[in-house]
Amino acid sequence: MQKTEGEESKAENEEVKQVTLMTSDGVKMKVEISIVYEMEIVRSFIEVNDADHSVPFPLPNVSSHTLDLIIELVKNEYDDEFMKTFSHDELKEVLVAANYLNMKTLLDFIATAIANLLEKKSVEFIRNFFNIVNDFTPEEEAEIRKTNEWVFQDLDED
Amino acid sequence: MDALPDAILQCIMSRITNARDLSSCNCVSKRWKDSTPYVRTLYFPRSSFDSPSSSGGADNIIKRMVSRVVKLEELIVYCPFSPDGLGSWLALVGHSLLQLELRMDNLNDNQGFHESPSKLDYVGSAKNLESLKLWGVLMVRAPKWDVFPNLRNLEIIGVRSLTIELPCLELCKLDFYGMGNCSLTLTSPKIESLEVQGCSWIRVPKTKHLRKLSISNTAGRVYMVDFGNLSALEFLCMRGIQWCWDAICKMLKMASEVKHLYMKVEFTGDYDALQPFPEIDFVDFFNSHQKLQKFDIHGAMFAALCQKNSLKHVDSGFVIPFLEEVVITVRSPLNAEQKMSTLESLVKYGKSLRSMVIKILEMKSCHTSADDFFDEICRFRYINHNIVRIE
Repeated sequence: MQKTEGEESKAENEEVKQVTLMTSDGVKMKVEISIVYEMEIVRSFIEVNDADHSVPFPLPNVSSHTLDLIIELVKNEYDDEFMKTFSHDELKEVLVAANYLNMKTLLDFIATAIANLLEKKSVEFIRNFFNIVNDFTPEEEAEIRKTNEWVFQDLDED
Repeated sequence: MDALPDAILQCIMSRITNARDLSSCNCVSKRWKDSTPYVRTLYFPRSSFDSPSSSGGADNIIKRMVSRVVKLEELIVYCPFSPDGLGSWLALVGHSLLQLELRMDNLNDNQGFHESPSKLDYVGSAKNLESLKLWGVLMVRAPKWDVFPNLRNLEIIGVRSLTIELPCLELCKLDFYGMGNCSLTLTSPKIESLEVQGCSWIRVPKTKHLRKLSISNTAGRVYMVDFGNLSALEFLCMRGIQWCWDAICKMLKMASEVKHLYMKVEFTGDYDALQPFPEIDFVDFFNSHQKLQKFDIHGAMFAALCQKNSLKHVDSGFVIPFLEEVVITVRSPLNAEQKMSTLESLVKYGKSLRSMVIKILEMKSCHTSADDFFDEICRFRYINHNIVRIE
């Protein structure tokens, strides 16, 4: 019985309920609980500790700009057109944040978008995109490029 | 940004399916190279190996890539390959594969006609497949199909007469090649959706779960249809140049529960001569298909539905209870009066009718009668403008 009552009151409050999140650059942002619930890392904390939502929940790995983008993406129901306005850096920040916040739908959406972006791109483009240092020795690199030589034609211009 | 966490790298990698892009990823760094074995899908597009410098040949490159994957679940190959190549890949990953899609291009493999095994024989070694799609098969002899106990989805373009017994099959799409005179026997008790094109004799005894059925034959005649219980059937599509009248009647009688019926058959007749349709009783037809919600009927069949004078003495209780959408294609102004009366009856008795689309195709047999008929239809549309649309 007690549990049912608890759930009811929770459902009533959900429409107006907001959770305050504190981003890495110290900005406090009030976010609708429906969006916060997509963030497993925050959700699990809220659910375990029926916490006072006015105390900001710290997100030391997410900037306010990235959180803004994420909120807009969720509000727009993951609109491709909106995401196309993102810079490469923004895409990567959202990707890393989605993984950190454990937002499954967003992670799936953004990972698919980045995978599509890498289509027909050169090895150098991928390295630049993710700031990856080439750790092959020249011999190893020559070897692996020879093994995969069928790929190195008709690439898109970076 | 610091190094990508492993989880994210895997996440992106698993969404890169084109083999060419995966090969590029291989060359990025040691860590990226070590991640490629964990992909689940490999896709080789049509033009993968078109460049002249693609030494090693498609067979070997595909084999090398397939061999690096720990647990390949889906393999899609649209580029040309040889039977032995396919055999060597499936020897490596046949057991983990759940989905296989191949463009067979057997037409170019005439030299392999007497050699064995064929590509089809090799496909049989992927025993755990749940989905198999084959394009351009041009099958010369029927392979053994009972080797896939888990197969749920089968699509083949280019089959010949065929007997299928697959216990788990749910979706099946078969496109026969040749003169449209092939036969099919399908024994799959879980079948839910069946699409057959170019087949003359169709026998499917276990149809308790069949919800969607589409039979079409643009090359030959649909001669015989034999189905089990079709009480679950919701969608039926009958298409083709010529169906035997018995086959049409039997099909319509068995499909008494359909909600969506699509009929576009041009002629009937049991022999090569193309015969016009006998008359169909409008009232009987709708009384025996009470659940119909959506109805598409074309040219000759619509004309047949108009000819019987059953509309003159309609029982006062007659209604078409659930019909919501009708699409009618009219091709000739013959019997214009009866056609108009049929259109009016559909509106009159179709208590739930929301939309009627009348498509008028090149009517040119006789100018004045066609014009008169068209004027009649326009007038009909004007009176029922909230329902009727002309295209």
